[in-house]
Amino acid sequence: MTDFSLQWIVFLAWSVLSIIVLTVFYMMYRQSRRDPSTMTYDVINKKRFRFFYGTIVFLLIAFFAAVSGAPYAERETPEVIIGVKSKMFLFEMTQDTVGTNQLVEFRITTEDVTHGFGIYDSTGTILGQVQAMPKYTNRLRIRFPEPGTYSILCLEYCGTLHHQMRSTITVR
Amino acid sequence: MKEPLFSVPISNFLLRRVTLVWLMLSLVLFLIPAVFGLLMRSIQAQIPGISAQYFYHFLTSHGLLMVGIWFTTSLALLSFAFSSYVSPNPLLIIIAIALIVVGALMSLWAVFIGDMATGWYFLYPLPLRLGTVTGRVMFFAAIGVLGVGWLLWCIALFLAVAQRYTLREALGWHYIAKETAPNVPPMIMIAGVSLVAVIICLLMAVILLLLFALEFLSTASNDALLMKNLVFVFGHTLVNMNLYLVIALVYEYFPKYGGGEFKNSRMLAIVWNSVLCIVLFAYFHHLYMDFAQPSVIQYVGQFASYGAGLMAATFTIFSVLAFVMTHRMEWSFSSIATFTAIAMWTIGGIAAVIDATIPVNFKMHNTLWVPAHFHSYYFTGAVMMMLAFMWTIAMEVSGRTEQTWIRRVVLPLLFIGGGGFVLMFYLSGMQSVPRRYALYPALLGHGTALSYVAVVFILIFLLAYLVLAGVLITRMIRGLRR
Repeated sequence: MTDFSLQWIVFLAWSVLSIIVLTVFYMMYRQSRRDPSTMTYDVINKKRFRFFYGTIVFLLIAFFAAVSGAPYAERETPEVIIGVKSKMFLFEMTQDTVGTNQLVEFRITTEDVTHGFGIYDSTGTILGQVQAMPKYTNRLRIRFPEPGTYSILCLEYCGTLHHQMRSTITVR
Repeated sequence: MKEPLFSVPISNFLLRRVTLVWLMLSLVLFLIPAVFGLLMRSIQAQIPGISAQYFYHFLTSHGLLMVGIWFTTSLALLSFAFSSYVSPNPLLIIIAIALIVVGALMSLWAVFIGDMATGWYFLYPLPLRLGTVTGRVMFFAAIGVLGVGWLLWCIALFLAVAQRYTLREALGWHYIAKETAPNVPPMIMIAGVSLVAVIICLLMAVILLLLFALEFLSTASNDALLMKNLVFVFGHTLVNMNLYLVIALVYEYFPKYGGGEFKNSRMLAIVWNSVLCIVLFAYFHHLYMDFAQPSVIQYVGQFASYGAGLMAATFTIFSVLAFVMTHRMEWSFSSIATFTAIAMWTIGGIAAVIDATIPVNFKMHNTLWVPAHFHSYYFTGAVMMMLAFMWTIAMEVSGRTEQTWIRRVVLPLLFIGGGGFVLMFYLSGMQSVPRRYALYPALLGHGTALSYVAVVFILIFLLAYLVLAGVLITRMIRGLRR
């Protein structure tokens, strides 16, 4: 699965679920107008708990899948380490060129306020991000799948020129 | 409907006038942050003649005033509704309103004259680096005054409940202990539980302000991670509780449109007390991208976020749907608006749960997906529900009946405008367009185009809103004179 498709899958899943929600609400509205159901409270409660336990199972699967896919684990040794110093309104990196599919670790610090460090590919799709907090070093590990120029945008509001805080990294 | 929904005893004449005054004021005040929102999207759309210079000032005031106004309105509506059972002290509420209005004006001064464009969440240490010294003092004083105003109003509601119920009863703990008396309306119990959470998050705000003051007045420096935790336990919880206070009203009034009621029970008491515990930990999802936060806390945040969504879906939304399915409802402006707003809350909730999933958040944190989901459940959800309740109040106090064209024309336009506006956020979020961004780079040019469409939808909403607010205010003034 490419990074591009994750956002699309998320949007698609949300769209389908939203359409289901709107359909169910409309069906209930129609039923209320035409012929309200005579279903008893006990029957409704049985359905409620079926829904409850079904959703718990679904959410537990999603939870454990998410835990295994969280960006916090540091199992592998990075091939490249890049120090990033962020300050209003620029990023200073110790290196701005890496190789394709190398495991790159960005060690991000800030000299002033909190900033965000978001990496975008050439289509404008975000690959990943992390925050830069005063007195902390946050580590972001990422592989660049294709050669090209990737953009780095500040993703945490940091002052009135926040939208101009950008940089690039070249992948060969 | 046989009985009025918002029947207020004559002994609460002052309370009725005070709350009506706030409701009218809120309808007018809302236009200020709404116009700021319109200007923000216009700047992002690069509409000629609108300078980006004040984008972040608009952003800050938009967030502060929206939550400030609608949180207060939820307290006003609850005061109206509570008065069927207990008597909130109108004098405390008058002081609270005065403080809230003063706090809102101070915040405007701090942002636009004191140059404190910090964002509503004033993320440490940004407020100590921006603006003038007077602006900084005024900004934190404004937050403090607003907080005291809200706290006073919450205390007024708590004291009123305490006249009739013990704390144990108000929170429904006697139901959990399998006792059935006294009967506590679900609205009182849900509001009681939510108000406890509000007071907890206001206390967090006090600690936050004190720590800011300490650094401002000395050479001490704070821990950025702690400060961020404090700001979100305050901000996230306050907005969530705002929604739950409105849901408390739904439990009270929505079934009346079908001639029934939601009864309190052991299950409901367990659910809402669990929600209180769960929701206090859900804010951790705001810190997923702060990798310095211990991982286990991040997973607790995801678990709590899922839990809060599960409880809302299974118990509130499911109950509303089951009720509608089994009752012949009176479909008026208020009932249709409330029902549709609950659907929008559900849709926003689904997007929120998706975004609370850590690997998804890795791509979508601080993109426009975030304002997409919270505008769904707050703007097209909670705010629309509040407007629906205001409509019922306005009809009752004025003694007028509902005009068909309001239901058939204005109501659809409100949801088309609001829904289209949030859809542009979703489409932008899907395409990685960042939030809190005045001007998009060429790489994200689609963000500019989607902002332009959003402006059109905002104008549709505002047009419908102006008509609705005009009718509401006219009727409430008539109600005041009666």
